[in-house]
Amino acid sequence: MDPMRAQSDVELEALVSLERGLAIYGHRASGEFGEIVAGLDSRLNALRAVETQAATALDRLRDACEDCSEEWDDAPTEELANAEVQYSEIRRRLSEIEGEYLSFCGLASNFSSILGQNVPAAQSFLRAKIEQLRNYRAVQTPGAPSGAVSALAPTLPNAERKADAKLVPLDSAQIMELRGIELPPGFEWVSLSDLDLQRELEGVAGPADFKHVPYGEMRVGFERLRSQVLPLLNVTPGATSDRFRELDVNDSVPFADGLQRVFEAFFGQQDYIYFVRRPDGSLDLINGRHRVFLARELGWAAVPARVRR
Amino acid sequence: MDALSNLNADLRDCWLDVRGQWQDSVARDFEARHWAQIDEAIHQFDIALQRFQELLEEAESALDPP
Repeated sequence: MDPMRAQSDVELEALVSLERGLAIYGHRASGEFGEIVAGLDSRLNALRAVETQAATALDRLRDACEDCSEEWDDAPTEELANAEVQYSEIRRRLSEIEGEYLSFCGLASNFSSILGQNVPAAQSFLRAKIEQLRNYRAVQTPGAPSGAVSALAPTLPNAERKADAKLVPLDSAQIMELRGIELPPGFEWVSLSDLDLQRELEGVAGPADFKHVPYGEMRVGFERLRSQVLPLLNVTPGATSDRFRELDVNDSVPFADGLQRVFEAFFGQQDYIYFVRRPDGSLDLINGRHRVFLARELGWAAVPARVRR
Repeated sequence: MDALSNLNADLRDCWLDVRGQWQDSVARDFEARHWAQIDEAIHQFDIALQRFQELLEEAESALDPP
């Protein structure tokens, strides 16, 4: 099996397992949480009842002492003193517990909101990732319907999505400059001249063939790769997806419109341009036909890709 | 309470298993934005629950409620 596919299978299985684990946790923990809180409330109320009973008993003793002290010598003063001490101890313990209960209630409330909001949000996040992986697998399966892979492709702000924008081919200096940029580990520049483009790009003839990611959107993705992502890689070799996320966060740009998505589309773990080199040295394009088509349109002499040998 | 502790432990084990196999930037994003909060809330609630339960037990032992 293709190692990339195997990795994708393992990851998908793990994510499905975690999503299911969260679902089970959310359901069962909510039930347990309710029972725990109800049980603790009941026990606390029992202690409050002890305090109430002790207070009542103490009042009776006080009354008895007041009634007796003027007439008899055998007033229950010692019993009253013991009751005062006992009641004081009950009050001390109850006060400590009530204080702790307030703190517990705050954390319990937070835990409850985690169960009610954060766990479902985490599940939702995972389901999106799982769907993304399944779409990726569908695309990787020969003969399978090409699923929606737009989530893995570079996207740009709406204002920049102009399918009819004029193409500006790169000049030779720009091409050389691009090829001098050090790519992330595992990636290399693959010359378009090394490809049998007629065979590899069969079925991709123009913008109308860009079904999943609009032609204009992908074109601008290339522009941002050239003008922003690659220059940053050139300045800070080894910059990862997180670095681009930081830039997006700093600029308050959502992932869908940010540089991280462009980086992920070309250098992420899922949807990079991917070739296999045959024993005779020729290259088979496994993933990224539309990007290679667009690279040719834009005058790129090479594309960043992984090559399995 | 033991049941909740077991659920917490199972969920953490599940996450550790997944984390070993899922290591891209999305995983880091998930960990920072979702898992960290869930794990922290579980941990804090667990501590508070144990502490409150200990206090209750001490008080019950000393006061012998009905």
